[in-house]
Amino acid sequence: MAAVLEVRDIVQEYPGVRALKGVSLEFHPGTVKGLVGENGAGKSTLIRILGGIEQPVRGDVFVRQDRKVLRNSSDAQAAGISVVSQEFRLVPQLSIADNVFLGHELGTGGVINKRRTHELTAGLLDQLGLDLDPRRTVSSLTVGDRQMVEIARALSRDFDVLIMDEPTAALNGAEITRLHEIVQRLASQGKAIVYVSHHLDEIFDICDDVAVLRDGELIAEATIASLDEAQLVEHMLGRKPQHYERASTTAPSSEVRLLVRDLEIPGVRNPVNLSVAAGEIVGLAGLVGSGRTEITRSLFGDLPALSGQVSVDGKAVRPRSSREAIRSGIFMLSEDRKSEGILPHLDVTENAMVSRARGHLPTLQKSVPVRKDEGAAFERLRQQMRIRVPHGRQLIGNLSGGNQQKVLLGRALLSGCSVLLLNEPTRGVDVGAKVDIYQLIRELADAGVAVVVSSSDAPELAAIVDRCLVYFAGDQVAELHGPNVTEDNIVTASVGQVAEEDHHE
Amino acid sequence: MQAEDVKNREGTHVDPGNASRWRDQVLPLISRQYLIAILIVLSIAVGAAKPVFWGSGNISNVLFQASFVGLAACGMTLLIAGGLLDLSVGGVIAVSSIAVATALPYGTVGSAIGLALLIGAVLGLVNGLLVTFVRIPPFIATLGTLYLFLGLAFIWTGGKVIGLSSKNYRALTTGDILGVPTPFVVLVIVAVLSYLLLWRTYFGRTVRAFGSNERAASLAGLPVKRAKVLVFVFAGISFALAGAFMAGRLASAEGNMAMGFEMDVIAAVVVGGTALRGGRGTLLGTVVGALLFAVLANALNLLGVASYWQYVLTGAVLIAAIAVGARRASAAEVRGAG
Repeated sequence: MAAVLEVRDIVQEYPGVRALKGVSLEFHPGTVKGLVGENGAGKSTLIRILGGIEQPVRGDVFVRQDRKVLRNSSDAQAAGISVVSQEFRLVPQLSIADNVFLGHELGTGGVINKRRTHELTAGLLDQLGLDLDPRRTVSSLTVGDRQMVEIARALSRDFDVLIMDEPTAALNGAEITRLHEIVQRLASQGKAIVYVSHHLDEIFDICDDVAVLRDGELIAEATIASLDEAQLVEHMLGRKPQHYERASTTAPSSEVRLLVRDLEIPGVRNPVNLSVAAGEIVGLAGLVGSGRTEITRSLFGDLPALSGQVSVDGKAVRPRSSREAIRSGIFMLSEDRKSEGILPHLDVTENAMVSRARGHLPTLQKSVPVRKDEGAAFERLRQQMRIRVPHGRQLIGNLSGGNQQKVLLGRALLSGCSVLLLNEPTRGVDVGAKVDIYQLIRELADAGVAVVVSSSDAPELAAIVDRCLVYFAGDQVAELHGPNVTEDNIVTASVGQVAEEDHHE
Repeated sequence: MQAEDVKNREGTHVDPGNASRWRDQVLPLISRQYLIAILIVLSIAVGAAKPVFWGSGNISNVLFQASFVGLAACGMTLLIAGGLLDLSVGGVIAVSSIAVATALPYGTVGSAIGLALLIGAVLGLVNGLLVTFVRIPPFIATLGTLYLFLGLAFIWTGGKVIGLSSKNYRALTTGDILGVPTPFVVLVIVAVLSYLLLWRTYFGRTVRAFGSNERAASLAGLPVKRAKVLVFVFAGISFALAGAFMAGRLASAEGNMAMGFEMDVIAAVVVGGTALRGGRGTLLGTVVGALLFAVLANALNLLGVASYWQYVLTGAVLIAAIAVGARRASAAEVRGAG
């Protein structure tokens, strides 16, 4: 079949980097092509070029055999290319319907036909299985719903090619399944789909063939049936993958570092009880909205608790701000690295040093930061955490998600915390850096930190935690120990089914 | 500031080849200092057309003008680096200068200046508390206090001009040190101190951090609220210092002595290369920006450009400088998305 979209020998350069080094790909109607690669491999660049957001330095784009120059996103849309981008491009103050038809409003003579806009939006939302009023403003939606609105927006246009850049990063299990059905239905209607994801199981579930990018080059292109997961990962990394082995050797000590008793938190139905020992990694599982985010926020003083007790190392604490929480030995990393983690204008060294405990430093460094000393401290972190960064004065915004997360873990390490709360520690992190981050979390625990990992990624929890608490609609529905911490048990309990073998009231 | 960055890069163990060193270090240095180049070219061109430009009386005139804007702009640079803004500059200058003029007959020169700085600090504190704890956006809060402070100044003086008769005060504020006007020497010292404060202290790091991403800064446990208030206090002091020198130069103080001055100050900071979005601030740029506007105003006067056309040209320069700055910034930001 003739390709509906083709790129030939695309080269893209940024100051100092060659992001794409001559990539050629064809996209055929009716097929779902997976596009995989580590962060920085050039996937996003390729998508931005296809979406008309960037222009390549060299190379051509062909739409149905015609050479096309995509100068901006309306050119791309006119050529039949619709993009669901990884970063939301919604206007939070507008309604769902207005957002869906933003840029191609329905109406005549500049007057918007509200009724038709709402009807059509309702239809699209229904197709996506969303029970939302099209009149609701986007700012009131959860991240998952916003992602779905973003998809509805792409579907509202006439397109031949649909590009989806990590559409499931913010979705829960049921939503992912629904999205996969939609993707397959669109493919059967003859659309060409480009599907980018870090979750390889997704790629294997829905793609017909897969293209692997590494360092701006097309490394492999094959039908999905001809590959297995290990081969795919090897293509992505350019080496055999390391496997993270759960170290079951060191039993967590009995010394309780974090003790939470009857903590009442707004948004969580029942009081929370929790105890985490030194060296223990405890997982919090559950769907988005199950209350686990509120628990970590509350322990970190960001969402004040209504009543109950929290103690760290036997000392009662009542953090009313993040600053107080850090002083009493609790540190948290948010799931939203970009808006609640990194300080984009500051370099990696400063980003790692902002929360550093200064109590034990020499007098001079208590009052002013000493560059030499901080440089050396960052250099130690860089080696210990395998942060891939050329020098300590690099701005953090220029790093990949995985490296940013490592810098933030370094920030947590230097804060000297005894309790570390992590939210979605590997969201948007590629396969290679994921294993590094798991190891770092384990190393932190082995150093005596009590770690709580809140994650919607069940395989991740199964891989790293010693004990897993599963929440459903604000209730703790299961507590899984040791060998019972499996992906299946977590997923079953998360959707409200009680795990039979280990049920706690 | 700029020179520092390059030095630090050389200090790391990464050793790029010659070609990439040129691209990574030398080119950015040149392009970052384009403003200095423009300043030099402008000065030479004006000097060629009107040799009187380089006369010592004229140069000292230019330096005086640049110092008043520059001193206030040092505080403004820190505010803008923190994503904040202060429009009450004219009010702070009026109140603190009137205080100086009123106090001088009774006290020493030093105590008068001390009083001015204290008033600047208190007025800055008012701004800081309104923005931080009453949570009024800086633009609105300081617009309100601008009227408040101006009103205070007019009520205090009954709308009259207060003469400043102290010879010692005038000698100190309008004198020179080794041929350089005193306020300009003070400007250089204040700019260096502000640089160190912004880039080499925990306080400055906190300011840049909340200017960059306020939510992330407070989640990292930085004392955001305290730093916000303090940066307004620092700015208030720098405005009052500018006012103290202005009063000396004018030999008087009155309510509308610095009307509209806040815009000159903000223009100097922004043309200098400090983005209004916050997160970063360049004090060298601010000083150069202040000099650029002073040279430009002086040049237009010397060249006999009609005063209405001076507005047009000044506006055009401001817009052109920002446009160039915006292009350069967006070229640098593309990489962040990779």
